[in-house]
Amino acid sequence: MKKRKISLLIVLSIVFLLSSCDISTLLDSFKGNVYEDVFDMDLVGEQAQDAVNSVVEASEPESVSEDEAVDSSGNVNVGEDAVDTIVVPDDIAEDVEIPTADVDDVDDLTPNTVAVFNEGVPTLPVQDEDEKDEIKATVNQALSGEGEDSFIESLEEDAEEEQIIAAHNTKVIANKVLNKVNGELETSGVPEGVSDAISALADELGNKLPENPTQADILNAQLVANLANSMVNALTVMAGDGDLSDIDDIDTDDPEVQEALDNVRSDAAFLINVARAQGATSDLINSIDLTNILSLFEGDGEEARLARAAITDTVDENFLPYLNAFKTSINLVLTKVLGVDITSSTPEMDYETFKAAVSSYSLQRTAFDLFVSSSEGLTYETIDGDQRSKYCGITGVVNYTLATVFDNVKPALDKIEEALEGGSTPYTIEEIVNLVLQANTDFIDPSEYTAPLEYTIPDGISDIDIEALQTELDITTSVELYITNVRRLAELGVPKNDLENSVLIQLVDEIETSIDDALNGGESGDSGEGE
Amino acid sequence: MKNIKKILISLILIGLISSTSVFADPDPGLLDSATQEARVSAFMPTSSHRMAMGSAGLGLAGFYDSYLYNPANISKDGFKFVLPSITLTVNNVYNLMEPDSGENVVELAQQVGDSDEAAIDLATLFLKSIPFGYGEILTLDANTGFKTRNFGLDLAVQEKLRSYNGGSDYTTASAISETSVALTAAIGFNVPLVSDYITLDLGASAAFNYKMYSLAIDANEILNLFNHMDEGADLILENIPFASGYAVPVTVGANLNLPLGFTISGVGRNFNGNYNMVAYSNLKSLINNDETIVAFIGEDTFDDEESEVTISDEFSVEVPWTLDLGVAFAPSTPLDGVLKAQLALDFIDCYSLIEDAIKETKTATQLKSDALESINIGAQVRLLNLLDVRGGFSQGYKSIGLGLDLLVLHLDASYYWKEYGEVLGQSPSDALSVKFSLISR
Repeated sequence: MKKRKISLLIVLSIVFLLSSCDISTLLDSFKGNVYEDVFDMDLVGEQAQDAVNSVVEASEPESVSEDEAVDSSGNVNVGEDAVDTIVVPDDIAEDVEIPTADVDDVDDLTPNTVAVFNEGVPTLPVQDEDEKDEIKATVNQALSGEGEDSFIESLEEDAEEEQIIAAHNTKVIANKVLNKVNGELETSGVPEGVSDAISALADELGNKLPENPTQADILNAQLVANLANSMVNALTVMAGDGDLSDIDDIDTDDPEVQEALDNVRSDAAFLINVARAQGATSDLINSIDLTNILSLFEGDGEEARLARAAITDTVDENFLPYLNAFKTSINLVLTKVLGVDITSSTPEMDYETFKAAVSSYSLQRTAFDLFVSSSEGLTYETIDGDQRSKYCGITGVVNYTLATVFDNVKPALDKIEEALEGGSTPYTIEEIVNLVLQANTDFIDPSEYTAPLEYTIPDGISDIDIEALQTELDITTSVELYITNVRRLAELGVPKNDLENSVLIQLVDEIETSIDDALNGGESGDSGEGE
Repeated sequence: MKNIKKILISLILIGLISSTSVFADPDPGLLDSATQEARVSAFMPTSSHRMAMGSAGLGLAGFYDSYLYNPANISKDGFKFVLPSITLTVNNVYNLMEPDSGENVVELAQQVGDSDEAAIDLATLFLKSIPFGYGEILTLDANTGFKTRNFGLDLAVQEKLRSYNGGSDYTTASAISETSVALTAAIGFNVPLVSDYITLDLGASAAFNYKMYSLAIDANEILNLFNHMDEGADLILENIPFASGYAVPVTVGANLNLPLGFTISGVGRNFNGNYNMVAYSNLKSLINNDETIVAFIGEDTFDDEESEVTISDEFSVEVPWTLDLGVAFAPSTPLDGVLKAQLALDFIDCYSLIEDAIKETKTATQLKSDALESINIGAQVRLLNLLDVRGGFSQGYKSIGLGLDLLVLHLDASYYWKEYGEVLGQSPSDALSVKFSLISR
C-alpha cells in the first residue's frame, strides 16, 4: 500500500515536472555531440576536406610537351596522339584548329587560345568510368546531410596556377571540339534536342573562368569536360564504323548505346547535384510553397479546388490556376534569391547570393538538357529509381524550370559584370529585378511582381542607361527546348498507365499554352487572376 | 497437321495468358541504395531502458530482455515472463516539434478534421523532418517470452518505418517499411572459476528471423497517402513491391564476473546471419506465396487474381557478424533496497573497426569517427525498487530515461540521439521511446 502511494506520488511529480518544462529548451539541451562540444572535433569538416583533396588529386593536370602538342602552324594537336583532354574521332580531331600562345602566368590567358606553359600544354585529365564513380561516391557522400556546407566551403580554396591553365585549356579545346561535333550532326538523324543540348554544353565550356578561380571552378570544369567526353563517346558508339554525320537515329535497343547514354546521364546527374550545392539552391526549393503545388497534383477535383483556394482565394473548375500557383512560387523564389528580405523594414540585397544562384542554375540547365537527351527510350519503369526521384517528376519540373529562368538571366548578368569591370556605371537593384523579369517574359508576367519599396544599394552599383544596355542583350529563350524537356522530365516521373490522367502532364500542357499565348500576344493563359 | 499446330499454339497462348506467376530478377528498387539499410540490417529489438543508458549494458542483467543482447546474461537471474511487452519509438522528434518554420506536429495534428490543408501540411512537415541519407521514422515492437536461469524463449515482432533521402530537399525523401518476426531460443550457464569470487557466464542463442521490406515509397506517394488515408491499404497491398526471407543467426556471449560487482563481457553476434530472400510484385502476392507465411496462415489468403504476380529467384543478403565488448559495474551494497547504481561502458562492433584499419578500406577521418561511434557509456540509479533514472552517451550523443515499476506493469521511457551518417555530426537524429510490459520487467 505504501509502495503504491509512493508510486503514485512519483508519477504525479514526473507529469508535473514535464508539463511545466519548456519543451524547446528541454530538446535543445540534448542536441549536440560531446566530442564536438568538449574536444572541438569537426569530423564533418575533415571529411569534406578529404573529399576536396580526392577531387583535386583526381583532377591533377597532365602536361604534354610543346613539341608533341603543337603543330607547325602553331595549332594544338587534339586527339589520342597529343592532347587528349577530349577523346574524339580522328577525322574530327584533324579538322579542329585551335591556336596556341606562350604564357608566363594566368594573367596572360586569352580566350579561345590554348596556353603553352613551361614548354608544355597542361590540361585536365580524361577520367575513366571507375575514376568517375569513385569521385561521385566521395563527393555525394560529402554533400550528404550536414556535410554540404563544409564541402562547399572547402572548395573555396584558391586554385593553383597550373590547375587554372589546365582548366582554361580544357575548356577551350572541348568548346572547339563540341562545336565541330555539332556541325557534323547537322546532316545526321540525331534529334534536334540532342544537338541543342550539345550546343549549350559547348557554350558553357566557352565561358571563361572567373577571376581568382577556386577549386570549385576547377571541379566544375572537370565535370563539364567529363560530360563532354561522355556525350562524344555516346555519339561515336551510335555512329559505329561510320561518321557522326551518318548517325540515323538513337538505337535504344543496342546495349552499347544504352550503356553510353547511361554514362552521359550519370555524369549529367552528378553535375546537377554539385552545381545545386554550390548555388545553395536547395534552400530555394525548401522556401517554395511546394505543399500547395504537390497537393494540386495529388488531389482529385474537390481537393484540388480547395488547395487552389488557399493560394488564389478563388474557387473554379479551371486547371489554369495551377499555373498561378507555379508563377506565384517562382516570384517568391526570385524574391528570396535576390536576397531582398521583404519582412524587414530596410531590405538589403545580397548580390553575391544572386550571382551564385545564377551560375549554379545555368550549369544545372546545361546538365538537365543532357540528362533529358540521354534518357531516350526510358520510362518511369525503366529509369534508375534514384535518378527518377531526384531529377524527374515534380522535383525535376520545378528544378528545370528554375534553372531555365535563371539561365536566361545569365547574359544580362555578364553584361553587368563587364560594365563593372570597365568602370561604367551598372544597374540599380530595381533594374536588375526588371532584367530578371524581362529575360523571362515567356514565363512570368512582370506586372504580377510587386517590388519592395526600399533598397539598400551595395557599393559599386548605381544608376545606368538601362535602355542602351537592353539593346545589347541577346537573350534567346529556347522555349521549344524548355517545353520538350520539361514534358520529358514530367513523363519520366509518372507511371506509363497514369500518363493520360496525370495532373503533372496537364500542368505542363497548361504551361505550354500559356507560353504560346504570351509569344503570340494573347492573354497569358487567363492566369492573371488570383495573385 | 495444321489443326494440331493451331491447337498447340492456342494451348501455349492460353498457358501464357492464364499464368499468374512470372519468375524474374528482383525489382531493382529492392536492391538499390534507398533500401540498403532495410535489406542488410540484422534484427535487433528496441530496448527502451538500454537506449536511455547510451545503448550500454552488455554485462548488466535485471531486465527480461538482457539475455537477448547477451545470452550469457541468462544465468544472472531467475524466472522472468513478459506477456506482452510493447515498445513504441518515434524518431525525428526535434524536427517535428521545432520545425524551421510553420507549426509543429502537435499544432497541426489538432487541426486535422477541422482544416482541409492540415493533412497536407502534416505530410509536408513529416517529409521535412526526415534527415538526409538513411534514418528511421517509427518503430513498434511487441514481444512475449519467458526465461529461467538456464533457458529462454522469446517471440518478437517489429514494424520499422525507415527513411531515405538521397537528394538535397524534402521532395526527394522516401519511406521504407520493414517488418521482422524473430523466434529466439537461448541457453546459458554459470561456471565458478575461483569459487563464487570469480565466475564465468557462458551463453548462446539461435533465432529464426523472418523479415520483409518494401520498395522505397517516395514523397509524392506519401503525400497521396496522407491525403487519402482510406486508400492507403490498397496502395500498400497492390502497388508496392516487397521482398521477404529468413535467416538463422547465432549469437554467443561470455561474462567474466569479478569481485566488487565488475563484469567484463564479450558478444559475437549474427554468425550465419545472411538472409535468403525472394521478391514479390506486391504485398498480396507475398502473403499468397511466401513459404513461411503460407505455412502459418495457409495459401490464397487473397483471391484477387487481377494483377500479374512476379516472383523473383531467391537472392542472398549478406549480414556481417559483429563483436561487442563491454565492462559493467553493478556493486551489491546493503543499500540495494533503497538505492542501487549500475555503470556500463561498451565498445560496439570492434572487429570491423580493426579490420577496416588493417585493410585501410576507410579514410583516417572515417576510422576516427567509427572508433568514437563505437563507444557507449551509461548509468542507472534505482530508487526504492520503484523508479529508475538513467542517462548516458552513445556515439557522443546524450540520452536520458526513466523507468517505473507499478506491481505487474512496468513503464520505461527514453529520449536519445543517434548518428545515421557516415561520420559523426553528418546526420544525427533523435528518438523518443516508450515501453510497456506486463509481469516481469
